[in-house]
Amino acid sequence: MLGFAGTDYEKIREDFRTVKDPYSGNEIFVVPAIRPEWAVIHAIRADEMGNVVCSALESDRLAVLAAKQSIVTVEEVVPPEKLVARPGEIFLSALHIDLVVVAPRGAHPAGCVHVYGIDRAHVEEYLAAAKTPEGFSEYLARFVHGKTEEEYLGLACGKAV
Amino acid sequence: MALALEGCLPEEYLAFQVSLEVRDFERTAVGTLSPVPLLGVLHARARHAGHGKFLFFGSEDTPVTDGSRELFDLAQRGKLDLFFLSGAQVDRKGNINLTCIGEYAAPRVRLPGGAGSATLYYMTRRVVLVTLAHSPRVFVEKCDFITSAASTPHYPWRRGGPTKLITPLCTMEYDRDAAEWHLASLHPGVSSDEVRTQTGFPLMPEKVPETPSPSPSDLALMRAQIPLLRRSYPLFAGELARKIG
Repeated sequence: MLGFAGTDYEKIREDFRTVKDPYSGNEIFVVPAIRPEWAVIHAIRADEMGNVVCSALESDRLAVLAAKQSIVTVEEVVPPEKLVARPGEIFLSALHIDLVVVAPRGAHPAGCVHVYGIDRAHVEEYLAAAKTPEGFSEYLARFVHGKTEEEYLGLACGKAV
Repeated sequence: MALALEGCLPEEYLAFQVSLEVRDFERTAVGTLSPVPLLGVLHARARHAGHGKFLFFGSEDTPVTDGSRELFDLAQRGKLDLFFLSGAQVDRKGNINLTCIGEYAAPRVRLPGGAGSATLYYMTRRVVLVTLAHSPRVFVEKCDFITSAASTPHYPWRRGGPTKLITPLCTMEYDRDAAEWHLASLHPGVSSDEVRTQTGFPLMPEKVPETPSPSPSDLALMRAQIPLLRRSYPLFAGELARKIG
């Protein structure tokens, strides 16, 4: 990672080290690989074998490939011939995934590529609530704590379902 | 005197300056949270850079299969010609701060962070900085934290770095040998004194030309890009359309 040269990351990140590149002989920065215990991502669809198609625009697939274990939630399960990735989507093999969970609108209030966009009104409501600990607690009480998935969807995005 | 524009919004004026940095047949990328650079690049693509290749993040049309990793790989391989960055602080030497205001251990303001800007500043052939404010708080002698370094003479190799800085008052050019900014042009109605007062480091030369203004046909073409801009920045595009009327 040559880009860290000359930055203040050199001072604050002890785990960013320089080594001599054995090929060019130049000093280069190296960073430790990120190895998450878990990756949890929301994908667009799965087949019954647990292969999925997810967004190509984010680093979701990369997170699953890096993690020791992973859970992928999906909008729907489709027949194998319907799984094919379109532009903006990418195939992710069941080989890398430990659990697939069917969770329609599981990305809410964020968006899911080609299925639904960001629920801006809800995100704005959350941002306003999360400015204070009390507001955050109220938000959780209203939408999350003790609520089933169906209740959340009814409360949070009933208008869109 | 302050910026005096006729028939053109400040955002459009800055986006026009961005468009002049885009060259045909090159690869240009625009990151997230960059509505003014995106408008400028969309305009350039329609105006003079129709053979270029473009990568716009924050849009469902982004032509990648592996997220932002593809942008970084592209830049590392030397195939990214032009990218845009900004900073909460930009210093005399061209360094950018996107990390914190004040001491890192006890910051007065904690900023969102660099998100790969260090590598892109180093590996992209030309990086144009665009700021939406011009004050001594933004343009400082030395950044509180250097998130992305403009010049690294003590390292053996570097591909690119800053070339130009576009602000609401002026444009500056980066002198790689001196490793600092030079004043390049003043926007209409902006005096040399005003820019110096609003900049926290010395700026030379004294006399510079006026920044070019978009022609009526440029403005019309740029405004025709607003529907495309809206796909990435619905709120910004909506507000722009409202101000244009």
